[in-house]
Amino acid sequence: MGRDVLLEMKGIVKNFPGVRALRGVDFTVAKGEVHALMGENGAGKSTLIKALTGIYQKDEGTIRFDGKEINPRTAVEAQREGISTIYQELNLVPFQTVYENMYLGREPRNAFGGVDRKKMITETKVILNDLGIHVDVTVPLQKYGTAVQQMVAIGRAISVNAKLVIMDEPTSSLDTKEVQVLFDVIRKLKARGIAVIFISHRLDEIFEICERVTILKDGALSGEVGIEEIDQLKLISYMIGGEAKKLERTKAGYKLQDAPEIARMEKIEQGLRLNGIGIDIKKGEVLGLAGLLGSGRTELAKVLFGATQPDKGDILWMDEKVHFKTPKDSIKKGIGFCTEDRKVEGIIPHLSVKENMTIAMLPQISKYGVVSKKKQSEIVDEYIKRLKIKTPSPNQAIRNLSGGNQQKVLLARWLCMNPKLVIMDEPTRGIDVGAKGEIEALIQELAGNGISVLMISSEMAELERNCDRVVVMREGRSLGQLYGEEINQDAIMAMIAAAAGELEKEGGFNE
Amino acid sequence: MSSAVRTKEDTIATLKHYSAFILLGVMLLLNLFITPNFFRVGTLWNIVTQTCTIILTGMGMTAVISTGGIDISVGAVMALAGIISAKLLDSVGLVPAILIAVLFCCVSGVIAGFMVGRLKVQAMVVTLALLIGVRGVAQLVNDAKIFYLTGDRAEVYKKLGTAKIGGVIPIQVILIIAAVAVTWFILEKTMLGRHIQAVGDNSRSAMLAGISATKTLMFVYIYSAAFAAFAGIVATAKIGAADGNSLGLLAELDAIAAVAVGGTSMSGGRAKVFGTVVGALIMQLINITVNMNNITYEYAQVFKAIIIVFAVYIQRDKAA
Amino acid sequence: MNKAKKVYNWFSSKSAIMALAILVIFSSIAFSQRNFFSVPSLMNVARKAASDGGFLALGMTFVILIGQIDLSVGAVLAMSGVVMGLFGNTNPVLGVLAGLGIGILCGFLNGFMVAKMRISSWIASLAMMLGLRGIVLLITHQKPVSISNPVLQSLGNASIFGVHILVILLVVCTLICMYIARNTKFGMAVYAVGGNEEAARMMGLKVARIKIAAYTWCGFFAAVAGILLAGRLYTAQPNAGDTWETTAIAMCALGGVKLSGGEGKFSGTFFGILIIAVINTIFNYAGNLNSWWQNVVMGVLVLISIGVQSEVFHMHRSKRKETQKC
Repeated sequence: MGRDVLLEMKGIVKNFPGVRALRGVDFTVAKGEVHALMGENGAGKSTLIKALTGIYQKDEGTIRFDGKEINPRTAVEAQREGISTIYQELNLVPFQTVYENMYLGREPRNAFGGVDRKKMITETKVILNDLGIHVDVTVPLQKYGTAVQQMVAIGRAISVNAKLVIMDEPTSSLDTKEVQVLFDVIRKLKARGIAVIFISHRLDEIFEICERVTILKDGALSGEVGIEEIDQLKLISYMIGGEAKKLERTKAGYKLQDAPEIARMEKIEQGLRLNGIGIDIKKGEVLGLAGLLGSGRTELAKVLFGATQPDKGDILWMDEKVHFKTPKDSIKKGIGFCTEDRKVEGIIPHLSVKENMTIAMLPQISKYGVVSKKKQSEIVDEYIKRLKIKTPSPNQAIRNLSGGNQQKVLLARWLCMNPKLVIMDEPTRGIDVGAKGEIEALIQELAGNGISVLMISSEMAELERNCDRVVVMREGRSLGQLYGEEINQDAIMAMIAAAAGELEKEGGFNE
Repeated sequence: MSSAVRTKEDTIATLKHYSAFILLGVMLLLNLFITPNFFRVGTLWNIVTQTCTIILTGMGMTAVISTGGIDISVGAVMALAGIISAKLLDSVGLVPAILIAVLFCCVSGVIAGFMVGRLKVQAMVVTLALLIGVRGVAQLVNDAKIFYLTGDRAEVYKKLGTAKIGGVIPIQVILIIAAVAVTWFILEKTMLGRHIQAVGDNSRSAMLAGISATKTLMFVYIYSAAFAAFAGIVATAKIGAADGNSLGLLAELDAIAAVAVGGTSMSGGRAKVFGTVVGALIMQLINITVNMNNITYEYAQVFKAIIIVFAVYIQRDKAA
Repeated sequence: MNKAKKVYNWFSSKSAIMALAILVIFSSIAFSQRNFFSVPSLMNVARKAASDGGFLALGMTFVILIGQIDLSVGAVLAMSGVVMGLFGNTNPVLGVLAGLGIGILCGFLNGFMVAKMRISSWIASLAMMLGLRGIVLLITHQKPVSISNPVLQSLGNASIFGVHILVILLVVCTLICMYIARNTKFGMAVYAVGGNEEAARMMGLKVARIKIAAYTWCGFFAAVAGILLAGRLYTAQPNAGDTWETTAIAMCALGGVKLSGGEGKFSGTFFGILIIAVINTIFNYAGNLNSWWQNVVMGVLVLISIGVQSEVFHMHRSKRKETQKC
């Protein structure tokens, strides 16, 4: 408090076609402060950061940095002003050595006008040693893990005299020890008067390292507080708590105790993300996976679908042990998966609505490998009508549709296969309110027809409205379950917050 | 978003979509005025006959490129098919000779498909190695000497390149129609075709929809090798001799150029089968135009270069 | 596991040298009676290395390192030789400069099409190859241009202390390239652009300019090759260098230069050049009949070398990492 202001963003607005990503956000960071920026996916964190670092151009608002107004047009310009970003997808060159990465684009010259490698090597060593990192700087960067690569990126930021370092989920692939090393480095940055914007979903980390926290929700400021003023529960409610509006839950109590089990996952472990979690899904059940971003929900779903392989653990499908090597195997058994990132993992952009919808069921509607146009059209027409998909024609390329309609097409891709289980990862993300309601109604309809749904959502209200049962996750484990009317956002948030102490007692989650 | 603006954008998109066809039309018109006797039946058949190998190899290449790969071994495969079939002709008969030749060539496709699909090696390097290696095998078969087709069986073989149906329509027309029809059918009507497009467009989404990229890639490289083999056989039949050294030399580049001019994106995605046909015709039309107007042939090459750059430049995606 | 990895890494990093060593040993046993290891015979290998597209491979390495390809090097080679022949017989200096100039210009145009017009490097350089070859044939009327100037002739034939000038120049050029790669900003930028173009842009590198420069170097070395070839043969052939782009790419691939860009060394390319020279020499010794095996061996060798260097092994390692990230 009372420190000089380094960064002041005021009334930042950013519109994308059809979406208002930021609606007048204020964001202030003081000199030498470690400031957390939090919010769920789609809350506007990364848009805000991108508007700050020149990757996006803001539509409205002002940015003052270090006493003057700035308007960076590119990331390089932002860097010149003193704003460096450590991206999740590290922007370094893996095949080049540590010191080359440190000095690319600003190499020191030697007496002969050549690149002064000696100087680069010694200075890189100094920079990294100052951060407490001791590595061989002359080997290619890819020989080292993410942790060291991150340190190199941070070192680079320091050596270009950054005044503000933005760290975008720096801990997402670090183990506990590495996280501590990173925190030491952050403290060193602070000691030098360098401010840090720290983006993470791990609450413990926020409380350990940050001084202030700014929370965004739905593109607007949800709160800005000093870290000592709040606790985990409060923080969670800033992120995901809706106004306490009365939500109509369509279902009564839990009645599926005796329903046959359709799938079961036991003691699933995978890298740092899944730590021995187990779940089971019953026929006709809507099972919700609750938890904050990074709690391992999506990872678990991908394992069930066969898109990734677990390191350990078993999957049982109708009481039979199965091993899904690829999605092809699980699709055959009757599983469908609507992914969270439609653009990268869902649509096939240049193919038509018709083709996108039927791509997975081609084997069923083909004879000797030839697709039956008639059957294809019947199915497509039926689902366009049933899901009220708005498209000028089934032959329209899917990339020209709105997000909601794309999502419906992807849903239809699985529904037309008569699945037994549909996994939906954030099914209503980026979709307008009307379409949201339709999709939720559809989920209930499916369950009514005996199809199980595994639903992942960051919107607690959505889980509350739709699920028969919810498994609450944190750091790749299950914290417990809520049945029927027990499901509400307070209970879920309390569970997540309560787990903080316990997990810490166990000494982190990786050892 | 006034409707006038959108119409303009639509018009540009449509023009872009049919630019290869428009280009072909313009060139035909141009020839109508500048080239004497251009629209004689003989001339037209000539164009088609000479385009046959480019179109055949281009069909396989269209499939390969629409998965985001490339196959630069087609020229060498042509040579291999030509020389094997010619050499075996007398000992095993026409049909077996052709079948064996095509099968041998498919082995090359299997290697390419396996290395690209399963080992995830870059398509270009793999097919480069095959280009060199297969050319070597083709030379070995007859000690790099030209093998002349003689004898009764050879006369039948030669018909594959010289026959005229009803005394008018060259056999190449039939072959082209068949090849284009089969490729169009596979790419547009079958499950496999959808898989090919999906893998080329967004391989991650395709995988999550249960498509095996390995199998799909395997198929396109074998398909390309098989078509190259047929092209080699037709070329051999037309000349009446098989030359392991020079048969199909640089044919891969003609095929790639035809595909690119035809509008199939080099980075994968929507395959344009008819576009490739048009692309091949444009390339050949340049040759004929130059030839019939008594212009030195080398100008044709320069024109081709300009047309290729121009056509690809105007059709490229706008995305940054 | 760890040990196997180490051994594997060593082999894959040294694969070009290993292959070369194996070839030399093999050939020296097979042809021991013919004294493969005699000085003249080794000289022969070296000269072959320098004359069979070695210079093209050096230039190609720049382009491959930025993750692109250049099919036009053979045509540029012919063009430069011819241009030198047209200007150089009266004034050798002018001839050489003109030859180099045209090569640099062609390289620049390639780079411009790829970096600025965003045309796929395949198509851009293919068009350059077709067009340029056409122009060469046009200006020469398909006849060779004779090189009568003794200075130019000596460029391809002289010896210094008994070492053929081509060999010296190839070594010098390789050293220059190694220097550029290691000791200049441009060299480091080339690796960065090929390794992670987005990162390079973020680090403030002018990506388009670097791409154009890499192509320009490629054109320059193609011109050097063309000038030396014309000098050696006393004529500039309009068909010179036809299909040599393939050999040049194969040399790079054998030398461990990754065709996906960003990885590889000029010393590797140099060994790749030597490997192909050794193969060529072996088949020359072995007599004409078997010489067609040459291509087969070359093809198989490239297949094996990329197989060993491929991601298959790495995939197992990176799989864990990937699943963590998802």
